[in-house]
Amino acid sequence: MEKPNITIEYFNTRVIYVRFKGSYVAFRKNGRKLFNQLFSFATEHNLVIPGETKVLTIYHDNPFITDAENLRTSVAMTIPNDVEINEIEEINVMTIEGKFGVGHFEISAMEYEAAWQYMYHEWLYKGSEKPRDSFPFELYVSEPPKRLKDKSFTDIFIPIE
Amino acid sequence: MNFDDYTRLINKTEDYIEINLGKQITLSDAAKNVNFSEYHFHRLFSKYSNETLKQFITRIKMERSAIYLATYSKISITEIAYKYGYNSSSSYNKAFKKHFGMSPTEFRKEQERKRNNK
Repeated sequence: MEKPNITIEYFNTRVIYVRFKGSYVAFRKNGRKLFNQLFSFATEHNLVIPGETKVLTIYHDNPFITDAENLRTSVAMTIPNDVEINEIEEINVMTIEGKFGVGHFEISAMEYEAAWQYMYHEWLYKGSEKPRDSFPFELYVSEPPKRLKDKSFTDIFIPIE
Repeated sequence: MNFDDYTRLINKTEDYIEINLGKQITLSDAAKNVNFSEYHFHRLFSKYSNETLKQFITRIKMERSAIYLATYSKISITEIAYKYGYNSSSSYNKAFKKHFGMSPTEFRKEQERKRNNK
């Protein structure tokens, strides 16, 4: 994995999301279904803006602290700030706001763990930025590749003070 | 109310707790956030969850404060107790010990030891 370019950014964006509760293994098994659920809602309500809409995975809990059965993971999609959403089915709306250290990665599906390790253990804990008590997330800049070994652009957002 | 409605109710409550970690969140606050009566909210939460609202809030606060106290080793336990809505370090200590089986100080030391052994 190549070292990422890291920037400091202020993020303030509304998202729609579907949340999953359970282990990361179970989340991965259900991931496609959750993304499909989100896309279906977004398409039906004309929320997808080509070239602008971004998809995220939010990790609400720390797997070293929270029991696997209680881990919460959300798949989310950015939406315009002024659009009105009627929350139905399992779809909710929330705003993600705050300062983040953002690692800009070009990685394959197999390199996500190494990318997260880099952001926390090499960048955050060895650097001067202070972690903020909020959740980190992945934002998919480009479409996920079809094959496991192919790379795509993904930003990893770490909340900082 | 069906399962989807319940899921949204829980999600909204979790999001509310997330942005109010520093407050003493009551059943009334959580119910008001989703426009339910306390009675109705409590009944629904208990029906679908394996935790009561109070247990759920305590667990989230314990887990988040544990990460914080391991990360910020120079901040006192009393400051962390206040940061997570406890009005004294003794009530925070008690809740922490009940959840993790060790005091915040012991937890912090253990995390430091783990880091140093890496």
